[in-house]
Amino acid sequence: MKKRNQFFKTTMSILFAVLLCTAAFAQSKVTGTVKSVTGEPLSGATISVKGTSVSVVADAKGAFSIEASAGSVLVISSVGYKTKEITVSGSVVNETLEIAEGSLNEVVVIGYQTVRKRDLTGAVGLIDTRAANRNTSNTIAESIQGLTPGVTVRNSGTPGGAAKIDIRGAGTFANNNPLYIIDGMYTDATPDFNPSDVESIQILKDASAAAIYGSRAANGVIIITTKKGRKGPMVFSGSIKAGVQTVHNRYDMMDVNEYRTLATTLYQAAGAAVPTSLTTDFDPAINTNWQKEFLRTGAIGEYNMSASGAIQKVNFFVSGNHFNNKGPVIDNNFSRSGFRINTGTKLGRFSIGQNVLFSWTRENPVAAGGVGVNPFVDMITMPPVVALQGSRYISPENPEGWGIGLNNAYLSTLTANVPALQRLDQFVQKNFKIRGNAYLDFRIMDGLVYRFNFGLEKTKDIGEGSRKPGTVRQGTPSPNNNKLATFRTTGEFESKLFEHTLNYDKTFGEHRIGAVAGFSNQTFNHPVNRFTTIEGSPTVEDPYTRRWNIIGFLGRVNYSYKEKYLTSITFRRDGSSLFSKNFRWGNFPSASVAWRISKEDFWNVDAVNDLKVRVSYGSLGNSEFLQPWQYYAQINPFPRAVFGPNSTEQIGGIVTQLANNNLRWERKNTTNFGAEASLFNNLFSFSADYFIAESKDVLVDLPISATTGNAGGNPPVNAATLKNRGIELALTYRAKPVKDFSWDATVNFTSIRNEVVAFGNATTKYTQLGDARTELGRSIGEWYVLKTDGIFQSQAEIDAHVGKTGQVLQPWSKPGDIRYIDVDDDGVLDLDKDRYYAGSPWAKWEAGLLLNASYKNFTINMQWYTVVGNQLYNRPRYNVDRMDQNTNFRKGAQVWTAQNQSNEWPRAAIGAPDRGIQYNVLPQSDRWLESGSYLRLRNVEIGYTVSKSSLKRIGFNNCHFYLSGQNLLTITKYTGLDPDIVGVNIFERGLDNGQYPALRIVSAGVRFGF
Amino acid sequence: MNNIVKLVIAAMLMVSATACKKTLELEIENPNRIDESNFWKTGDDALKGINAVYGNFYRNGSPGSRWTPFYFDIRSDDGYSTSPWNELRSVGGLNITQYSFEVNFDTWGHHWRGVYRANQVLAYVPAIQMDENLKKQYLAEAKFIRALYYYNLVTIWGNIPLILQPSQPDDKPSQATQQQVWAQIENDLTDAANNLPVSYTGEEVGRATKGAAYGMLGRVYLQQKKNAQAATALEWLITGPGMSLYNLEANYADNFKHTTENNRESVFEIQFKQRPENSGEDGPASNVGTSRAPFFAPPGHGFNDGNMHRWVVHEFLKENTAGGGRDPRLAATALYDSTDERGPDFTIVYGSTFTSKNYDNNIKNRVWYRKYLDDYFRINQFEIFNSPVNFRVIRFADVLLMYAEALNNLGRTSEAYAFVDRVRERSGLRKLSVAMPGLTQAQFQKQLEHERITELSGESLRWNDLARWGYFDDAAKLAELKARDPEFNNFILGRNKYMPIPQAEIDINPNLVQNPNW
Repeated sequence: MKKRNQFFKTTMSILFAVLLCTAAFAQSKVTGTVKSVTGEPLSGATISVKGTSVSVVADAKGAFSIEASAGSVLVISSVGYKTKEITVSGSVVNETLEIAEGSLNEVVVIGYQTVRKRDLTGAVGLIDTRAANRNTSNTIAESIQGLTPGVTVRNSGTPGGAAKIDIRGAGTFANNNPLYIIDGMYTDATPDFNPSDVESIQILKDASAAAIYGSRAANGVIIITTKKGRKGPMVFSGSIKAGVQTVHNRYDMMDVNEYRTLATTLYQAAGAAVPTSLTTDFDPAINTNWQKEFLRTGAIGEYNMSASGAIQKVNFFVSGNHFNNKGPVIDNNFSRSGFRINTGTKLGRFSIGQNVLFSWTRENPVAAGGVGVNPFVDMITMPPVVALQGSRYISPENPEGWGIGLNNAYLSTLTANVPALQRLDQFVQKNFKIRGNAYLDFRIMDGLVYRFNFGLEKTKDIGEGSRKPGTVRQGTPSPNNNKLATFRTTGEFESKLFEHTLNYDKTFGEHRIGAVAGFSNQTFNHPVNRFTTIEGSPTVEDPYTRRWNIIGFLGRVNYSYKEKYLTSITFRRDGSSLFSKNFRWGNFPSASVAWRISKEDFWNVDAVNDLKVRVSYGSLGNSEFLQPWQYYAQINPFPRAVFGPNSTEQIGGIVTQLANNNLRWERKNTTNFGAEASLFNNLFSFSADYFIAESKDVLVDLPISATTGNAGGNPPVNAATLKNRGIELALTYRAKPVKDFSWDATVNFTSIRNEVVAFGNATTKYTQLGDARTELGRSIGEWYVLKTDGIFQSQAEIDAHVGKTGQVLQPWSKPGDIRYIDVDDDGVLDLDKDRYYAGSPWAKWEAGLLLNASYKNFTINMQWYTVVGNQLYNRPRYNVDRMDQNTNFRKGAQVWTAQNQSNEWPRAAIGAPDRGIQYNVLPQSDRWLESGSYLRLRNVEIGYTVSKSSLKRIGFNNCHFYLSGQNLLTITKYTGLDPDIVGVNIFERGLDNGQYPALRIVSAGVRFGF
Repeated sequence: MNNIVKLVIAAMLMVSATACKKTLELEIENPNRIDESNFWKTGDDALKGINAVYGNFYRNGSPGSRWTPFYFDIRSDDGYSTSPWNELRSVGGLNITQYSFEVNFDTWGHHWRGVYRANQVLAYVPAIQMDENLKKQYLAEAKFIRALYYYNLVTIWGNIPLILQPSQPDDKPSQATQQQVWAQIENDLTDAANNLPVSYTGEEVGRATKGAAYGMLGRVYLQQKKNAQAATALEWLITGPGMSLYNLEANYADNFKHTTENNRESVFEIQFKQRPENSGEDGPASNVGTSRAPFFAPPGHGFNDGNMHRWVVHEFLKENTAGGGRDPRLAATALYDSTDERGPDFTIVYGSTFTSKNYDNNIKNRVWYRKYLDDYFRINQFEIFNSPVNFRVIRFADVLLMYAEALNNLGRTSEAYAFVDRVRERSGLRKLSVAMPGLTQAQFQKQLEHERITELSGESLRWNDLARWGYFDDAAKLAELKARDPEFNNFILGRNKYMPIPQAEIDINPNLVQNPNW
């Protein structure tokens, strides 16, 4: 009905307009002003006559004048405000526009306080939660990739796995995870959280923004507020989503015939006997595609339902959620169910409220147990000539006969049968969690409010599993003495937060003051128990309890004058039981100022509607990396000695893992320069930040020398000083709606350089893990490897490859071998001294692009993400391209021979390699490095909103159908499964060690409300 | 409604009040483990400490377990590797390029863990108020074990740091001279010999004894060609106060079985036991057996990563027993087609005949090290990673042969005959004084080399024997090794005598210098 009406109106208006023009009928002039609710003139507001092309823009005082006849409809719009339609009934129209969501006047939660976004003096990133919710993700972190500058998210891919998130680069060597504050409760990123409960996400990036969280804020703070009920009619909303999930890429490996040809050549090249599995016993029926055996098409299903509203004075929000993920690896699943109740009540001077989440998760992880097993490497290295299962392989150690190397003339390979391991090793991790808070506000006087906030997080974890007897790899025994073993771990985590704060908020004329002072205390208790039973007989259990406490005093004052001059001063003092007596307390101050230049009288640049510059400096702490009691060495009670004719075990006790007694707070000092602007009648909004962050006394488990005799992991030390310098830019364009078409776009850009400024120990100049070296003056973990220079095509080339003293550098080489550069030019090729810096695992820059458009009832949203300039080490490729052990090979792989010369594929042979071949397969060479740059269509969603008129009949308020694709397109030169890698640790950040790749998800769903 | 609010307020205030005491405490007691500063207070702590020093013997890279045989046997001219793991094969192949690969790294690291543990006992036990005799014993045990680790470290890697105090995390020690390391080993062993008990009883048997310290001291002196001192040290076991304690076992093969451990021929053994676990390090339920056997057992029973060269078999066949039979030690030393001299139809490999195994051509000519295999009781089974068979670090037969070598080196060749004879006669061979009387010093040395091959092959002594006899410093002698073991074609004088230090260690500690030419 309504639609038809509109159509009728529009048609009539047009007809009417045409009539008016042709008849030169005089129109009346309508004048007026447009202001915001707070009384500010809205310069740049657009006023148009509906159904015509007549349109004007309000001037600096918000005034306008337009030709319109009585009865016509004026459409008044301004970016950041709700669009209003009024029917002309006189010659003067004075209108106020209400603030729209997501605009400049948005309120931002900055920790214990809220401020208007326009009054911010620190660097805060606001996440568009609608964009975030378009992604199917396990965690909040994963859903915000590419949505705000300065926030780098790397996906672990694995169902139920957490993404890694770096806010403004690596500030620390170790745990870079930011602090999460969910409804005032300090917590961490866990996959039990339902992303659709989220009302808002704010990311505190610089020191002044995050300083109120002092000792725990150095890696940034993510503040999440969940949805609340509002007054008015009860609102129900729900969503259903279903889709398929796959590993979007495969290594293109050889089939059994191709493999047979090349492997035969390689064995013959070494003069070794060709395994009979390739000759007399060759069975063409065996052609195992190991990727196919290991991977499958996964599925996701997500169901949400919520109700919100208010009953008398109590507002409420309740939601239920179920997420089910059949992983893309066999026997790999994750599911989550959640139930949330948020309520709030106001009674006189009191308000009370609570937010609570109950969640259940269940995970079947990918089994990776055992020596030499790496599932995403083994699935490509296992030769196709090995059967998944077969009678040939049955032995007491392998009762089910899974295909593995047999170490005999038929077959020898060191690759593990990972599909078999997935079946033999069963493990389920179940978790039940309650997380929430309750608060009490008491208004002492106007502007002064006391709050008590109690937070609680309690989990019960149960892990249960079994390992059936059977080896899955030649050379690795069947574990637990080839007997059935069952495992059970139980854990109970409890964290309580007690906070008392006083908030003061008052405006005196042009002066606006907001202040908070408070006390915060959090306590943790985490007992874990492990039980192992081998064939019914229990072995020793090992209970371990972690306990730690944190106490903090906090205060902040925000002051602004005429909205022109803004400042904020914060102080926090924290004490933590993770440190020894002398190092327990730390002070974390910060200050910031901002100047809204556009408010100055001299400012008369029409193109710039709003311009604010800000500067901040502050100091933050970090101790997240530490475990309780790491500041002293503990006596390991388990070493044993066996003596006597009865082999009696005598108990021992000694320090096995070293400790540092002087562990102190890691401290990060950040200076931030920022600017924000709205341009061209608010069509563009722009923000830019430059920061210098220096992390001192960085806590890390720096690799220590084995000569210390340390065992059981490197002890944490305050090891180094790091400097991060970066630029963050964000630009949003919101196009004026033209007819039924509207669109907006946001580009964000981040470039960060990290540099190691000092090591804790003055004698240390560098440290190294694997092939990545972390050296003073350079970034963390740059590749430090040998330099290759093509392949010798002839003996003459080998003879010609001489050092400065004239001797042949690689006398052991043969034509077809890789040429290495004598980097230090000392005339000798040296595996140590001839390494060089071959690239950095850190991106030079990364950027995100968000595009939203709608036409009539259709919407399209796209999110692009790009990372440029990093180098990755492709370890899976190393494993199949080295060709000196029996593995499968990449399709098209070749071997250098005099007849088949190549500049890509060197000489190779399986078994008893000579020195030339050993040098061809050196892992510490740039042969295995690849560019990690990529451009990815992270998400695309096409939606259709059912019009209200049709919905009314079925009692619905809104209904939106959509089709969504995640990671549909990735443009990269990287030859591994996926360039978006987490890395092994901070020192080997760019090492692709066969990680669970980011997944492709294609889904369809519906969101509705009534 | 107001009442509800009041109730809520009251409840919240109570939560707040009760919380305070416990949650505000920043000094939290560790309920799980003792802090180092509360340890080393009693005699019991000292006992736990020294037990934990022995506890490090259960690491893969510790002396006599999984990896050291690759350094001392497979790397030598009597052994070679057929491992499909190229890096492991390169240890024996003398052409390692991955200096930090697991085996070289763990063998290095697990030895240093032993040093660290001994250093803790030596640093902290002296201040404990406890039984002085036990204190003396524990300290002496720690010194003995520290010397044992340093002996391996200095002979495998040559140029190593000398660490005598408990480590700190940021220690980056420089290398000591080899002379300094040897001097420390001598000091430790001398102290140990002075303070260790002569023997133990009951469930203490297996701890280091005075005889163990003298035996080790003799080995250390001999290795440095300090022949007089070596002779003096060894005399304690042969003709001195220890002579009544030690003798040769009647049955040679008893030296390599778990059923005849800690016998009178044993001077020092590393004690292994089979528990249900076959892995783990210093956890509540960790392996205290050895995983050596599967790496040396023939296909079907192990991975066959190491083999014995057939020339060793021929060495046994050079001389029959006085009764005209085959040297009985061959069957205990080598598992091959003719371990039973009647041939493959009678040779038993893990319970079934060699013939029945149907080995292909590649495998049937191989010779496997038999000592420390569990083949005598693990019938038709695969080897396990937690074998109970003790590793004999020093056997009395070795003491006798070392003593003979020291005497010969001192020019007392005729006196030396008697001690070689004791070893030969146990196996039924004629006395050397009958078979080869009147040898010159050089001839006697040559004969000793034969005696040590036949008596001691596969006991991780060969590499240091070759080093002591100068095979690694002289091109002509090296040529003999190349003739016996083609892997020695990769041996470069001035390089391969020592293994490369793991590159990762040099990358972390700039004060370490890589061994020459690696």
